[in-house]
Amino acid sequence: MSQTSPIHPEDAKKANEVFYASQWQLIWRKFRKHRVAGICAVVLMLIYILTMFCEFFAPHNPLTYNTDFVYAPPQRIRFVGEDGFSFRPFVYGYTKTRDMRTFRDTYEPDPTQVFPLEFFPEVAPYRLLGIWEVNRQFFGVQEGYIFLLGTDRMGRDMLSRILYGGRISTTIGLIGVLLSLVMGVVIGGFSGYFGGLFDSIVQRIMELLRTVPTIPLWMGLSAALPEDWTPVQVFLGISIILSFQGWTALGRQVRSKFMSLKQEDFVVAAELIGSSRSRVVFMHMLPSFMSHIIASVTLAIPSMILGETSLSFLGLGLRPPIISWGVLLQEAQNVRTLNLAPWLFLPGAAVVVTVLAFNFLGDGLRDAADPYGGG
Amino acid sequence: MLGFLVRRILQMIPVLIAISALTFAIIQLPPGDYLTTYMAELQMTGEAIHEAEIEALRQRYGLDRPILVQYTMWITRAVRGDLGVSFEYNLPVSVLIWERIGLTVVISVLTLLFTWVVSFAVGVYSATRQYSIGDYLATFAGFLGLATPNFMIALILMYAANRFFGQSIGGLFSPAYVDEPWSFAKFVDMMGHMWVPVVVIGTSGTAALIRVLRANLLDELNKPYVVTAKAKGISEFRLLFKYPVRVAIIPFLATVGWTLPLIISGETITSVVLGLPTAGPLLLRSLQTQDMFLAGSFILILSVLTLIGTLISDLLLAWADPRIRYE
Amino acid sequence: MQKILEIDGLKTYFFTDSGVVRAVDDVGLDVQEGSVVGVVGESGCGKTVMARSILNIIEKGGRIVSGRIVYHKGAETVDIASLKPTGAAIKRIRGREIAMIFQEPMTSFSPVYTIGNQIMEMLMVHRRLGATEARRMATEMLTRVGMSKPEQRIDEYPHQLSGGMRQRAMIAMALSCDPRLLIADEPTTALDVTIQSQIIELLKRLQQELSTSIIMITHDLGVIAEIADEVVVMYLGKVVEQAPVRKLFRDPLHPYTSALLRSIPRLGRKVEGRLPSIKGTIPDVRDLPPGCYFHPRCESFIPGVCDAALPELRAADDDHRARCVLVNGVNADD
Repeated sequence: MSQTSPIHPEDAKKANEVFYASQWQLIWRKFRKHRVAGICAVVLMLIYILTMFCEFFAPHNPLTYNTDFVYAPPQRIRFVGEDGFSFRPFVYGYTKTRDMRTFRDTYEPDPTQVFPLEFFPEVAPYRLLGIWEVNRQFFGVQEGYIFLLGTDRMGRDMLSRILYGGRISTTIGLIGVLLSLVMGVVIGGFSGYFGGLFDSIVQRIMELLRTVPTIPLWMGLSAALPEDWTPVQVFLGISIILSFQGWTALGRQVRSKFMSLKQEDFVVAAELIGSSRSRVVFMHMLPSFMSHIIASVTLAIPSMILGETSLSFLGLGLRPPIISWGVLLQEAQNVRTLNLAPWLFLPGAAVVVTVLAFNFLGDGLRDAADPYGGG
Repeated sequence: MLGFLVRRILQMIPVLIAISALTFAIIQLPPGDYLTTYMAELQMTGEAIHEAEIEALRQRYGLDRPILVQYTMWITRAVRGDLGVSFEYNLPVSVLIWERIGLTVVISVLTLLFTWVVSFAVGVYSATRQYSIGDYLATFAGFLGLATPNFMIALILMYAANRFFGQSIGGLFSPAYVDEPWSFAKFVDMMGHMWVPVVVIGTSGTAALIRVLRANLLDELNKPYVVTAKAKGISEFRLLFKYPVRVAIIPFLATVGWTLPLIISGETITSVVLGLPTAGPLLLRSLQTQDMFLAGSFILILSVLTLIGTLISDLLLAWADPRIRYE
Repeated sequence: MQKILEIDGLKTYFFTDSGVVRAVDDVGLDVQEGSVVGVVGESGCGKTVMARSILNIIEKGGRIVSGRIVYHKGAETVDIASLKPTGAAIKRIRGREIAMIFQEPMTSFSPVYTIGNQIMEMLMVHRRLGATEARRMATEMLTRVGMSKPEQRIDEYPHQLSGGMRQRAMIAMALSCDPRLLIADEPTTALDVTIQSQIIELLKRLQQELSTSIIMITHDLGVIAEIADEVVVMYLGKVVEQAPVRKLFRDPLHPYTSALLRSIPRLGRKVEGRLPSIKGTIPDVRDLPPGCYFHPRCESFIPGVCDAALPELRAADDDHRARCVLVNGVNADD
């Protein structure tokens, strides 16, 4: 009777293929199954491109006001006018009538004023991202005016303001999360790795920060930001305030991962062969749950964006002249204004779409981060 | 169980001290102290500044003493119920806040109940009918609820009520009752207005809890003990609720701990939008005017309330999970 | 002796994204009153799914596709396979007529109820006993399975008991309604070796006292040798050999059975080198080899025959059957 015979060569080849699929390959494979998450990734990419290059995509300067068009409604892009079909899209101008009792302007589309859209028109030179000098824009009109998403109480173009505001709102999410991540990984990691007294202290601090109701705390902290700070200082200050609590969630996760990983064979093995502690942490432990961290980070960004929006909405966060979605929504605070100009809600729609996309993406990533799990 | 309770309460003490320190720090953060603000205020209104009064106040708050002494004096007074003076209203803080805090508590508790009932029902439905149309709808509504800031929901509701029904849904009382003393009729009137803030504040928490319960229940449904229970030949209803639901409810209870800060958070901002006579609008106003004793007191009390809520949820958790109780 | 359970042509399939898994494919077996049938095979051979099919508690995605599971109760017969899995009829059989114990005593009890609660539930549901009476019976059952201090244990939670104690409690629960058939699904796998033999002894003793029939699912031939009267060997969802226990051990007909037997250590037999194990791994159930499923791993593989067609289950004599071309032909020598 023979000994355990070697497995067939074909089996061996097959087995190797399976074994050599790296963790990242497995994660990618599983992520691709999440169609919604994939779509959301594309949507987010679009949002970031549009807002990052808002100077190019926005038809107007977001600060230019226009007293002739206060609370002008959105114009519709048309292809069919009184002269029939036209391949070049165009918008109608407004006819403005003033209600002499309320002194309110009402705008009606006026088919006699046709303003064709122009793509990549030449404009006054500006610096894209502050680096390249460019003198073309995505679109505009040669004559007349274009307010695709309407205007606000000073006749400023909402579309341009939403794009510019998006740049701030989406970046503040990233910066806040980055700060949280660094704090969470460092503090949570050490806490979980060393345990003991340090761990209990950190645990208590996390517990404390998680108990304090977020918005009152944020309000208290941001009210303390000096009035005379520059916009950049305020921006950074708000990011720090937002991550003041945000790191605890990540920290807790990293800590519990470290706790369980400490017992794992490969970490013990690394320690036994004499790897230094920091080497064990950064070379062996961090990579093994990188995917989980990425998923958690994606899920943490929305709360940062919502936080900024809420704070700015209350007038305690970013302040004009900075434009963010929260700052824009401040204009939509009372119902009377909203009745007059419902399009002031649109920055809110931008927030919801962005947050929704992040949540779906994060969800897909979280599922994929555990490539060995079922489902 | 008693030992657990005592241990848990003892653990709360350092957290309480830390919260008070944090609050004190927030009070101290704005430039200048209470007196300089007060004097500036007097100057603006053109009132005379009495040196003696200033000196008395300085003594009272120990403003020329080290910061640690100031903190100790402040916290000692706070524990005795003296939370300082609001210079904006020229009234003791304790006079201003309790009714508002009370309403905040009422709204928060009602919201918590709403959140539980709705998320429990939807969560169980969603998990037991996984991938059904209802499940997809609930999941999508949940995502939407999580993605929409509270104040947006409030604004949309107000806008819609105004636009389509010509009604105003802000506030907590009908105009006739606003300045009335408390009575049963006023209470009934308040309850009629209550659903708006409860729904608005509860949405995101409900959405989160549905997801927690659904995920946990889906996990539990495949556990061996459920198979054991199936093999026992008990009714489907009992099989679901006595076994997997009973275990899935544990993380659900654990979640209450962080739902509460979320609710109080949401209450703050929602009541600003809806103009409710609760803690939120006054907190905002006090922060805008840097009326720091008032603001600090709100933050302190809201945090302590949250802490107590967390304690209750921990006790519920221990009651629900023998593995924690007998640790 | 009388048959109490007849399984015939049972097919339980799982419908997954990556194809149909034929977990149990055309399995038949009979259980006589008061006898112990052992079902043996490597993990993944479908024995657990077969066991669960008997109570129709198959995991999500799987269902009985065809076949009969006939339960005899006196003159009455019920085809369990045809009952609605969530209906009332099968609930009267589960726990009361046919009870089951599981592999993982750790997780097979709900962590949030005392074991007393979970045992009493059986008695209260099936026998309609009141709480006091149910408690008395439950304590009695715990004593019977050799639990020390049953009055105290009955109020303890599963996590307070050791693995062996939990499995005893599980047995007490299963036998509390005096079922006629007990399905034991790897009841000793998760336990320490010394505890294993205690549990098997206990099952054997109870089986004799209560004259319950048992279907013993295991991958451990030692357990089979100790307790079973009749043995069914399964490989990839199919029965490959079926015989009384002595015949099977003395004279295995299927090469798979022989290989299994060789891989258990025996007292008093000198083993040179390593203990032999079966070469290769179990093929993917979604991608079964042509012909006899075992041929890629078989020592007696005949090219052109074994990989051409799946052999029938053939009778070698009146109570010994095997699914191999060698049956009634060349005999595999050991």
